[in-house]
Amino acid sequence: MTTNEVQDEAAARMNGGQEADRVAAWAVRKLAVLSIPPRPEEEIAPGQSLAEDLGVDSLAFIEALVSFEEEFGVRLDEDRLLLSSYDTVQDLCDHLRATRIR
Amino acid sequence: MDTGELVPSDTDAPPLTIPSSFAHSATVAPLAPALTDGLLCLTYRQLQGEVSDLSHALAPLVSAGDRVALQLPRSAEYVVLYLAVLSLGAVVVPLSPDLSAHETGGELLLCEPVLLLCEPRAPDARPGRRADATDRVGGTPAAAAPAVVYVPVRARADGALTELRTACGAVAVGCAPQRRVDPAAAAVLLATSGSYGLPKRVVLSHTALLASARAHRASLGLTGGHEVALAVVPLNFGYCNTVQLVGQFDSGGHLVLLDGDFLPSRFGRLVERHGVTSTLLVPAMLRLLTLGDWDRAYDLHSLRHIVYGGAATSQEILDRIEERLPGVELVETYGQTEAGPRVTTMRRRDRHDRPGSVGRALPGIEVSVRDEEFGVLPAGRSGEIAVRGPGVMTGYYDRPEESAQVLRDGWLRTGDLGRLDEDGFLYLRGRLRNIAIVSGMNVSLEEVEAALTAHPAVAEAVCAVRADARAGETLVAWVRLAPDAHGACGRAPEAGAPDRQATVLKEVIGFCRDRLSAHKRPRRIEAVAEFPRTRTGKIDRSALHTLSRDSPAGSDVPARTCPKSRRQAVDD
Repeated sequence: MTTNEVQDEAAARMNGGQEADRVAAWAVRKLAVLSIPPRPEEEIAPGQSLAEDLGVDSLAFIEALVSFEEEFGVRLDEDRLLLSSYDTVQDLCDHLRATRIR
Repeated sequence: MDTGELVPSDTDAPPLTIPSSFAHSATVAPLAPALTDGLLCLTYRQLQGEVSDLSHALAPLVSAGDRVALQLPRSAEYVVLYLAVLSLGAVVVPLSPDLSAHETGGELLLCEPVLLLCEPRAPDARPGRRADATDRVGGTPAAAAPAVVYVPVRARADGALTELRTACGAVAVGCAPQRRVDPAAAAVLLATSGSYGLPKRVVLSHTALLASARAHRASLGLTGGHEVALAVVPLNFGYCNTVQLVGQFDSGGHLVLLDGDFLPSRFGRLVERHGVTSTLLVPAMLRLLTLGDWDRAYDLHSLRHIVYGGAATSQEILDRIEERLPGVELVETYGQTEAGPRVTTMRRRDRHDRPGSVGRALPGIEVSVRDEEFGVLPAGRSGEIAVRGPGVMTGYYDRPEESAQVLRDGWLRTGDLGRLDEDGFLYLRGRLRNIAIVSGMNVSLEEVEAALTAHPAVAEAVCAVRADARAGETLVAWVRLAPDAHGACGRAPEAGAPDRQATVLKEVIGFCRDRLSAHKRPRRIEAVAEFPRTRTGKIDRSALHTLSRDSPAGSDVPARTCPKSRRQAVDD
């Protein structure tokens, strides 16, 4: 591995970390609004169930994930637009990060 | 009067009952596609065979006039059982699979079905929320507890309805039991919030359902040809039940069921695969159709009508859909479960000249606007909308007084306000009744208020309706907490009052989640010290807006996304 390649990889990893933060921040911001009733961002926790604890509406959720695709320039698998594909906030963040940083 | 029909009439007169209209379609075109659900596709002859076998199997349990509760998702199983129950002269009581245990128990008590057909409990279901049948029936007094048959839905590894047949003990018999079905008898009891008070069941006869479905077809000029209807909303919706289920089989059409959740791509795929000609969408689905570039991937030329209603939809959303689907007519409708449900249709050709109208009365249906004394108001004057026609309900099930309140001299008082113009176009102007229409489903404000006050910490609760870009409308609630209210999780006494209040409110939200279906839950619950009151001490609903700290519920229209074809996201 050349020095340049190592530097590139380190840079990529760093960008990846920032990207991951951006994705998590996006998810928390959206879920705060999509929760029924809406709640402050600091009340969104990784272990919460999207449907049971936050009461997220399934059609509003699809709309949010389509906007994620636009904002981050990615495309999610069809099934991954559905609320039923995710259990917790953590699941959602993990999947969105993995989609973004491959 | 001889009301029964045993065989399809051989005259030109249209059949009088749902079973005879279905049998007629099956005689005319036995090999035409009737029902598609995922990989299962049944012709009229095949569907008739399934219905016959199932009705034979259910016959010993179900007498004419009995109620049978159907708590199943949108599926071929639902449709086959629906037709089987009707062919026995019995009455279908659709129960949403999303009902809480509390709600289901209430419905069973009211309707007293002899039989409940529902899905087996999912192995990973959380107890208490989505109740299984033992929870449901467990809360019902023994006298009212129905027999339960568990029906696995879409367990069709072999591409046939084997599991359904096994669950009900059906064997091949070839012909249906010959029961006399009275056209004037109840066919379904549909859920409604009712115009006033708590939820009730609307009794709709065979005559009413067929009349409403036929009037709808006439209003769109659908006089012949093979219609393919795509059902994406629950089959117990008034429109879906009447126009899509009853109406398609009456007219020899093909009913296609969306298998699973709505997504624009799934919608497009089904339209292309089955040549869908019409569908009904709720406002949130119309919004989704304006996003992404899903429409580029499918051949959608067969689609002619997208019907919507139940909430004002922004012109921008409609424009964007018409831009994407130029061959499709967006049809706004007005209706009410009590009316069968169809009342008016707004065609595209009229929209330009009469913005804001929900259209004209369907053929055979009369609409008039009444004053407080039920006197007829002239064109241009606003009042309560009344409807008369063959689709109107028989009444509310087992609620004679509430029925008498809304049925008068052959007219149905809708509880909706509006006016007619000189040419008979109807414009809605609000409601007299305390309901919200959330994603196409009526919600009684009183029911939600009762659920809130059932919590020991809540002394009084009031709900109000808020416009919402996605759901059409949503509920917000204010509660006055009991003076000694404290959270069950036992906050320390020295905890500050705002903290305690927040804890109690969280409990109340959780309480709602356990007792109410999702669409009934208030989007926001706030505690207030006191409500505005009228001089007689009642809560002044009209002054409630002073309590509201309204924050926008999201932008009205989704951010415009160019239907560009997007780059492949990642290079793996």
